[in-house]
Amino acid sequence: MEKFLELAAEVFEVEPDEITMDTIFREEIDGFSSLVGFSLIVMMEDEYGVRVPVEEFLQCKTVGDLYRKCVKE
Amino acid sequence: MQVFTVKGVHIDGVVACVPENKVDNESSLRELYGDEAKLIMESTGIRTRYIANPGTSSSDLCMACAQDLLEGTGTSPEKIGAVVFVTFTPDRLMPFNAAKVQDLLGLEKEIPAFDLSLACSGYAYGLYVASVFANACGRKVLLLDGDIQSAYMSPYDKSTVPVMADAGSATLISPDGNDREWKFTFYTDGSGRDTLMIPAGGSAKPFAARDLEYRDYGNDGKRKDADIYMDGFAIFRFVASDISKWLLKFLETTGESAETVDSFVPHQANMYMIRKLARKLKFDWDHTWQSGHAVGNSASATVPVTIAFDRENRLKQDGENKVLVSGFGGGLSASAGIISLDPKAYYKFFQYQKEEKE
Repeated sequence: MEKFLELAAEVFEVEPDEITMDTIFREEIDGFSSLVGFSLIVMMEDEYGVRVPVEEFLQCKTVGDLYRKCVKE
Repeated sequence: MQVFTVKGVHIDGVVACVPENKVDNESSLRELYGDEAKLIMESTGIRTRYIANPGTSSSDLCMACAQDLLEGTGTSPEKIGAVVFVTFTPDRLMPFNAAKVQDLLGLEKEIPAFDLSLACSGYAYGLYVASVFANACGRKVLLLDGDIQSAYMSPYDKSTVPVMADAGSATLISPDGNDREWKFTFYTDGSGRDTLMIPAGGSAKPFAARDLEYRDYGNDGKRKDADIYMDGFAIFRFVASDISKWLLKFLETTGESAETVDSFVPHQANMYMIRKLARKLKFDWDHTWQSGHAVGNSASATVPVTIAFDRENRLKQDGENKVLVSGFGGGLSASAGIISLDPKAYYKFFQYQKEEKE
């Protein structure tokens, strides 16, 4: 879980302690854009081997929602 | 990994130009994106782009650069042994642009002159091919690289409008017998050929009247089959995942790294993507050449445009600079080269003016 927060923080370009599993990334991350979203999907694929379709990604609201996609598979 | 080497060539000069119309990106996106225009502009990092007047062609821009380059380097037409023209938007589907260049520049008739049809990956291909020809014929080779993407862009397309632009360039390669070895590598994944393409107008789907009608693609906007289609996420994934790993492998295979290479000249896909790519390769932003923020993404010409545009900030003045150049995009395709740039060579960046047309 900690590792995921680190990786997500790197994508968001913030410190790991600035986000939690409850962070609603589209609203709470400054400058969040579709490109940042693309980066998250690629990170999940590269680091966890999970290929999340864009449509499924769009339904994720919190960092925890993303994490659960990675550990579920 | 196949590594292609070439030795004994020198870049005498790089000249690049942008076309007539400067576009403020945020304003241009307002109609498509409404209140999100600023966010889209800031996320791509492209603040201004340049678009050609209707009828200004890829050879117009590149010819203007070539004329300046020959004059600036004191090169007479009979010194040119070959012409290589990289473009996917030639003036006409037939014949190829390089023939027009041979004629208008008054070059010899007994020279090879041909186009390379590649999109964003074109420049390092052009450099390699031009260098091989320069060594083979023992004469200077003119490498032109430019595209008028706006001729194939829908103004209502949410993927292409925020980033795409037009530009032209000319690079002069000469065989000077030096000992420096340039290294190149290439990457092709044709399974992704539908993710960045122009559906109609080729022999598989010759133009019909319906190809000139706009179709509504919902949230993606509207475009004609005669326009460029880009699956933004597929291209992003290609660069962020496949290409970043492939470029790391190229550096490793050649015994190079961000420590041994002076700087990185990436294709200016958009500023967000190249910042992420540079970080993965461990090039800091100060050692990453940039022009996309000011001129947009003009396909393969972004590499020579960036060299001409940003050389005052990035080119070390003490001797030859070892740089990594790389382009990646439609095909899917990529190319990369570890080459040298001479701070004493001729460089120029300018805005093309109509009166320069022949």
